[in-house]
Amino acid sequence: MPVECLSINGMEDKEEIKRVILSQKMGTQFYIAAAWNNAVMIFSLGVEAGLSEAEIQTVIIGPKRRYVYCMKCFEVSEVKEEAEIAECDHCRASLEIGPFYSIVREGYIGYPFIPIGKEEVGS
Amino acid sequence: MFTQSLDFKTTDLDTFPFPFTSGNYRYSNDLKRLSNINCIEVTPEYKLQVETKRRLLQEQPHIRFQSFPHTMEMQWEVLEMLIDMAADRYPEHFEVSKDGDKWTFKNHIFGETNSFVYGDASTLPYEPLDYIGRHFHNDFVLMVHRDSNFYLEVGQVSYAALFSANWNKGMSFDEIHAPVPFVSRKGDELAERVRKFLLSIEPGKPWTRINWNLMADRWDVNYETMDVWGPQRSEITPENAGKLVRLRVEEQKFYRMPRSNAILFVLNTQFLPLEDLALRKEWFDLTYSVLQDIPGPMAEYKGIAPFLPQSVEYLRSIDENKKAKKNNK
Repeated sequence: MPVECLSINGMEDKEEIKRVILSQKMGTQFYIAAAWNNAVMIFSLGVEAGLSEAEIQTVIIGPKRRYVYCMKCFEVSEVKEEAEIAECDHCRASLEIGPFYSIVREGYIGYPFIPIGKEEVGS
Repeated sequence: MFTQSLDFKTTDLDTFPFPFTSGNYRYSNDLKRLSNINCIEVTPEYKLQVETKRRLLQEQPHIRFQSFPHTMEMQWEVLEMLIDMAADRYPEHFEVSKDGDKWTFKNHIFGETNSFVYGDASTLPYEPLDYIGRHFHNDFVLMVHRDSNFYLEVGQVSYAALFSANWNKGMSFDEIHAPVPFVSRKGDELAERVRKFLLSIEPGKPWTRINWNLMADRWDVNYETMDVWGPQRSEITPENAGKLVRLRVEEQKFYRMPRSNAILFVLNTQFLPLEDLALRKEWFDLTYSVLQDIPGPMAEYKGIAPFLPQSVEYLRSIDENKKAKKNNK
């Protein structure tokens, strides 16, 4: 089986990575094993080049990142992997992190709620 | 600013799509062939509903309308279908003239005339579906058919029930319904069965089903305002439930679009306060029976658990009063 080795140094190699992906045959399976930032970059380029998500499998080496999509201001904030609630980095809304993930919004749903005690302060 | 106070109910009961046919309710794939394929309806509340919808779209554009840029052609197809249906069913209210690509659409109820070039979105004030959707009280969701699934690519949603066009944009039918924790009476996965059914819908043969919920003094409940309506639900008491709690009925119609092959969801949402159920004895009895029998997980899923007991208590007191009066005669 022919093997092609490509040295990647970051986004400056974007076009070269895309060229490699685009030159593959239909039905090619794409496997990514990388640290978070590199995996995100390669994954995005794969999708941009026309691979479906079912054709890509990813293993993250090292810590994973998790994001919550604020339903108040529609911005994304990074949250701890095991966090159940969070505060939006942008509008400071309290968010309950739901189990549902949006590929378009690139985060888990963040349901706004008023923490106990906060409503009395506000009123 | 839109306040969500719900000064609106169905007044012509003949137009209210009452949802229950038996005294207990479970989720099922209850789709039926649509007898009248024209989805345009002008009810006595048309103006009030459309004005409210326009205000929501104006004040909350990112919440109420979402689309992908590649959907323009599909949106024009929907615009054409809705305009033709409106002019066909209500020629006294809606009129269209077509001179090649130069179209003029008139809405006589609002006294509005718009001329545009069909296929050229720059000649409209909004995207095609967003524009035409502002002339009808319905919600419209366009689900694009791809890889044996449907993806939400356009949505104009002004009556949300635990739904958000902003959040659900781009999601597959399975992803949108992922949290449905129920199986049908036969034990099948419901969302899977409905998706498979939708795949079989053919152009010119739309289908329909009715969904229902209860609303605690709200026009709608979306994810964006969960911090507001979440706590408000516990303000319902057996004494105020008759006025404040509405039976919310969503008549869903599904059309296969012949050119794009997408499925258009047309949603007709109507409200009836619990106190108005007494206007039709059969509706009162069925609703009382159904609400008494709602399993806990279903009440949680529908978001009605915090005020369902008070609503049932209200109906029980009405029922007991009726029976007492009958016995005293």
